[in-house]
Amino acid sequence: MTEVVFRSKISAEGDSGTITWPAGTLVGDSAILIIWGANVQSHTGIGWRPDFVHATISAADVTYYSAWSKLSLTASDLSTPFTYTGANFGGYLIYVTTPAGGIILIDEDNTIVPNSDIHVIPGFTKNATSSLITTILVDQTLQNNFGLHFLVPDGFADRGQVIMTWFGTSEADLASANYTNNATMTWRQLEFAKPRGVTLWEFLRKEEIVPPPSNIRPGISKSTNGAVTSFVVTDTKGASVTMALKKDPVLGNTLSFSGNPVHVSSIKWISDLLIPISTGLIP
Amino acid sequence: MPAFEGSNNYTSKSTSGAVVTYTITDVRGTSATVAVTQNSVTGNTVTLTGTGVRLDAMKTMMKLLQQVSTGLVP
Repeated sequence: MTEVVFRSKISAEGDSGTITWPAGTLVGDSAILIIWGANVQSHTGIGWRPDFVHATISAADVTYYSAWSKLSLTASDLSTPFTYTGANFGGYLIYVTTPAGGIILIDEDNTIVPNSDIHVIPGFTKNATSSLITTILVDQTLQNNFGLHFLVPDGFADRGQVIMTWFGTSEADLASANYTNNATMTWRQLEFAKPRGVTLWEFLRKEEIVPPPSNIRPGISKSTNGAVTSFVVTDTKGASVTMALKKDPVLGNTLSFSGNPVHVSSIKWISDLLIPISTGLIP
Repeated sequence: MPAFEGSNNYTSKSTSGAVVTYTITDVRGTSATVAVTQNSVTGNTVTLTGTGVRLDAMKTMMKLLQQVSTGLVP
């Protein structure tokens, strides 16, 4: 698996107009967009639509916060940057990861939560291909240019924070290897009694597709007899299992299994082999 | 309980002694079985059986095998 490369872009206060992608953004990358602002209930020009994760908070007084994600950016997304004309005292953040393995929305609390200075994000069990965990908190502040508006969760690195007239945001990520499953994450706000939004995403690595040579790795062999292609997976103790793929254009391809008990250490080979088999990449 | 259970209507699980058997059934009703024999000394072994299982069931099979290989199940 390939680790995720992470790129971000944070606007200056009150930015509007055309929003361009972070340098190096590619077709197929995953992306998250967050905007926020004051006295704003809507925005225009955002090309992403409801098949993506979408979270908003809005209040009659001051706050607007909205977040999108898209698993795989298209050439059109990159060649036609969206425009943002929404906010006073607001801005945006873009996060792009490559290659796109997936984005999971773990938790969100996009509500008006007064009189509280702490937010606990429940722990969760990481995905097997988890690469990054990102928490984002958008908070309206009480004072202009207050300084640091809130502290990121313990163990997380502060990747960037923008202090605006009314809003601050901070974003943190942590390689999943350093995150303990089911450990809670706590944001500490230095101000309170104002709207805020908290979102937690998990970025996944992209699984590599096993290529289709006759010997994909030691312990796996491939042979063909008419419409049947057989793969034999042999474990380190010599036990083997055979998977016979029968091509049938009418009823559909089928797979048959036979052989001896194989050690659990070889099971990942079989699992990996099923990917190109089931998707038609081999034989 | 393993996260795998309940994620697919075509899968069942049974246990007999140290052997946990998962049955994965394709849309035509043909089944494959994954029998995990637990052995804390030499390591678990896995036996795969089944004839003529359609590839639509392989996604479920992959999920299960991934969890078996990482020790999430049985």
